[in-house]
Amino acid sequence: MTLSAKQTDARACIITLAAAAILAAFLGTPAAGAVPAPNPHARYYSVEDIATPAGVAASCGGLSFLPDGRLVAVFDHGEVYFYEPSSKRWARFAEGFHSPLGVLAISPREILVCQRPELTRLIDSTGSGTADRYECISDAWGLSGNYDEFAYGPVMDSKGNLYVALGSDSGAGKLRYEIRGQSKPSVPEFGVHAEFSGVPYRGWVVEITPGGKMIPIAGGLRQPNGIMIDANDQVFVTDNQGDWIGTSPFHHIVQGGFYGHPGGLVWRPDFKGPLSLLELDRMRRDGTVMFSHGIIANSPGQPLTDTTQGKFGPFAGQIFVTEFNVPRILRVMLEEVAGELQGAVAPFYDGTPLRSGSIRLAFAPDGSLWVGQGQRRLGWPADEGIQKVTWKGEAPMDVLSVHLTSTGFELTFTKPVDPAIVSHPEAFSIRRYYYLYHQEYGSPRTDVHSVPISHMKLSPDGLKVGFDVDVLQAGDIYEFTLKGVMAADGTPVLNPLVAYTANRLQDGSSRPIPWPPPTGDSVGSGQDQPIVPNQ
Amino acid sequence: MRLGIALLAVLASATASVAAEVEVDVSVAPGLKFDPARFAVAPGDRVTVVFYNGDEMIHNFVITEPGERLKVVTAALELGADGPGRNYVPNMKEILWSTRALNPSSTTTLVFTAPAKEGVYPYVCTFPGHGFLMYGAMYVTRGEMPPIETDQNIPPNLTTAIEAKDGLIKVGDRPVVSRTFLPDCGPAAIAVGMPGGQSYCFDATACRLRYAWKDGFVDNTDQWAGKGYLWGKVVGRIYYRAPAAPWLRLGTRDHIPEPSWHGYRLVKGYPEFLYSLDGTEVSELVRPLPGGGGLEVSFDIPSASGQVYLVFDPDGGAAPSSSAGNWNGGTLALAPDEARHFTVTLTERPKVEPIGYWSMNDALWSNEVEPPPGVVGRAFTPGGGERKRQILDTGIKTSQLAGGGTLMAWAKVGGEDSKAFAPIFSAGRSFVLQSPVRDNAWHHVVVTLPPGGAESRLFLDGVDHGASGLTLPAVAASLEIGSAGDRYLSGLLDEVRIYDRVLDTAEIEATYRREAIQGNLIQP
Repeated sequence: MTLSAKQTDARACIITLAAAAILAAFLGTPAAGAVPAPNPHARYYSVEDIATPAGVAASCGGLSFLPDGRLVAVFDHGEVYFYEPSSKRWARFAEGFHSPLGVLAISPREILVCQRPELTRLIDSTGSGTADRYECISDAWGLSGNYDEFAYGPVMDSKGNLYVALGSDSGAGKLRYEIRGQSKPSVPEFGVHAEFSGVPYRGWVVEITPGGKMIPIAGGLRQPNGIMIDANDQVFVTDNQGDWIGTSPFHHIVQGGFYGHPGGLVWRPDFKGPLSLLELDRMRRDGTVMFSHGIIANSPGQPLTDTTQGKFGPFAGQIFVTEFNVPRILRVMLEEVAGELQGAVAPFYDGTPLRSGSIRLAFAPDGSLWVGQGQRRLGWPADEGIQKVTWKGEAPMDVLSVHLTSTGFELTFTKPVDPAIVSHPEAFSIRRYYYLYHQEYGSPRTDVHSVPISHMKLSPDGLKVGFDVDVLQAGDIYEFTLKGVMAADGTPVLNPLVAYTANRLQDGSSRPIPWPPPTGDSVGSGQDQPIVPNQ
Repeated sequence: MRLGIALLAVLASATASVAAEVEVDVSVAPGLKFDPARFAVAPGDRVTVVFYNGDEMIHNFVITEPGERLKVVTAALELGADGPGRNYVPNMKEILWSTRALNPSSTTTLVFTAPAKEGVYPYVCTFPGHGFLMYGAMYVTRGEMPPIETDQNIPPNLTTAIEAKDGLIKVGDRPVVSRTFLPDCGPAAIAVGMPGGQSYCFDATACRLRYAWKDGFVDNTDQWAGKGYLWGKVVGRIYYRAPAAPWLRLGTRDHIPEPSWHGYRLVKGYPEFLYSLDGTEVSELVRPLPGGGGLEVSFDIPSASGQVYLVFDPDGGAAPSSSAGNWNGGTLALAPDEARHFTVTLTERPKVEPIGYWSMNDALWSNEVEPPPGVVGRAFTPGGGERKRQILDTGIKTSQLAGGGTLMAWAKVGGEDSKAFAPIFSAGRSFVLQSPVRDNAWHHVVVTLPPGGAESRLFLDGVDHGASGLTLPAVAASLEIGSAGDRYLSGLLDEVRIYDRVLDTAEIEATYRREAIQGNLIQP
């Protein structure tokens, strides 16, 4: 079925309108009508559109670079293509995949693709330029026909083990008569109507050994639309806000971990039956970094470490994460506190010409960041295609990292801060809050308090601003809005919003379970509000 | 047409016009859609909207003044962080009525009096981002709504909020492989279209050929739209269906081996499937018969340690022959050295398979409602689950049966009301086959439709019950299953078939017996 030109234009209009309006709501700026100012990000990073192959639906599910600089991309209707950036030529390598949502290029003759039913190894055994072998690396996870059963990945560790993250089942989807894998009934106590785990390992991260054996690693995810592995073989995923997931998290995956969404617990060998909310809350691992809903992100996708060693700007070693609903890319800054990873997140790039729909990332050998946009996973419209982000060579003024001290925070900036900052504590507007853990869809920002600061100091080199806060509460998210913070050279902070997830304090304390009754406001979900009266 | 509206009571008034109490069921369809996309009420009607969110996202239901949807949607977006606490409903005069924001799997009701002023009143979900596509139209009118095909007040004609391009795959001079969801197969289905119009479905979990068809390939438009809620469609005519049990056996004829899928390699573009059965490696390559009319399937089982068997249905849609081995009835037996490489040819027997077959195993059920069991697998309820009726589009016209036809179904109809309208099949206004039995038990109902006006006969549970009294309409009409226009069968249907030939008594009885045994209705 093809759309008429009028319908296509109408859709394009709707998407642009929707994305712009949502971004404006995100940023708290006026939606339509005002003449837009030039995007301040454009001074530091260029964003260019990459034309996708002719005749191929542009919704992109995965990107990976070959060492020779060619890009490998997978598209929603099942195609795998190579792209030569210098000649801008696309060449089809393989086709026929079912919802491919990740690709890992090993060599020009060996490409791994993660699709709904299996993890596939593509081999070009003759050097013809197209794959002639489609080998099943693993199809050992369950498949019931439910449309939310996506498979994300793969990533590979230093020993050749592969990791795949598996989406849970939607309560609105179908359970087929013929399924793959054992079926287990939903656990009503877990409130499974939104998402659940009807067949094996939905909502889990699984490892596949070089010998092809599938080992379940950790469960409790809802829709982990993004997986990465760092230089230390640590696996990270993002998950999506929804039932049981108060706000979207970025998770460090550890063996045996439980990440909060209880549907997948049924596949643990030690599962004996429903657990109470308190037991689940004690079992679950916190999000390493939480992305405040509607403020930082609505729907994060793939995370990826900046391995460019400086070719992409001053954030080498940090982690970029896609956001789907609005034109935004996030940046995660990690540190270790009391033996656990935690840290901060901030927007890295906002606004046009970046498009919405971003779900995948890949760094090219030349240090540019390529972004894949596709709308399938969330079932609602966004942009689609591929864009390329290139550093222009000048470092923006930004918060480089956030360090939790025993009395407050220390922010390191990319450039020396204007020394006048020390007499302007109001430049750091901070509030803290947490998200509830419960069966309901999402959570309000709970127990919101503003956070006055004191004892601000600037390091001699001007790069670090430290201050104390009135209350350090383990388990809170500290959300900073920088107002009027300038570099010594006069440039303002490019991304003034930063949020730190203080799972642990330096003294080792962690969030109380359960939380005591809140003393601050709750802002957010209103599911139990009365019907708005008739006008 | 007023969809899903029940007229509960009629309130007389002093004037000529009559205000009714009307209940409308509105639910959320995947892909950010309201179902129904529109409905009509009369001015002054007392309306109860029962709004059910079965989706996995939050939605609300807001009715606005005519023409004000986008203004309301934009204002709702601008609520920003205040949105959730206000159910995403801004305070503005353009909003007439609204529900709270519903969690997944929740229901709420909205009661109001329809405005006196006729017009098109949009309803919309104002959750951020949804309202640009998730809306419908409440027609307040004493007349009829305009044709739905050209109605500008409902979202553009997209299967879901995200349309698919080029879902109908055309096969040219090279084979095309498409992994997708197909009916009557496991969830890991591989559709292969070959030059010359022959196609087949291979099940990558069961590691076997499930069915073959001709004159087309697949249409993935529905499967590629949205999140893949709907499935791919076979384009063309299925002429061969593999029997329920796998055909390839190793060692002993009656043992079903355990399959393990390895993938496939392309041989001149054709996929050669690689799998093992009980640990023994098999490769299977399917090609169209040169000259058309069927398939040739080449097997390589280099390490067969015992006899190899292929079990066919001798009366099925394809006549089998082979390059090696010995035939005994429908079973081919090969010695290990013969099994190293052999070819089976499946030659189409035209029209043996029906032009339409509905196992009802994967009808429109969601995970929310447990599908009822049928005689074989699951059954179909035209009356729907808790929410709404289900409609089957057969796509078959009575004119296709002009050369002879047979309609076949299992039906289970309750005895509560023996006069209730119970259509198993219908076409147009004049042709309806009602369930002849209403005892809340499964019965096999068949009607033969010989060509040229010869007598149509009714068969019940494999037994000829005499003339059916039915004739196909003179003007071609679409065949319906379980319904006749707005009216539908209150009961269950299963294993429905429409043949474009007249089945004889022996075949009707054999089908009845085979399925009745499978369904434990009779003893073997």
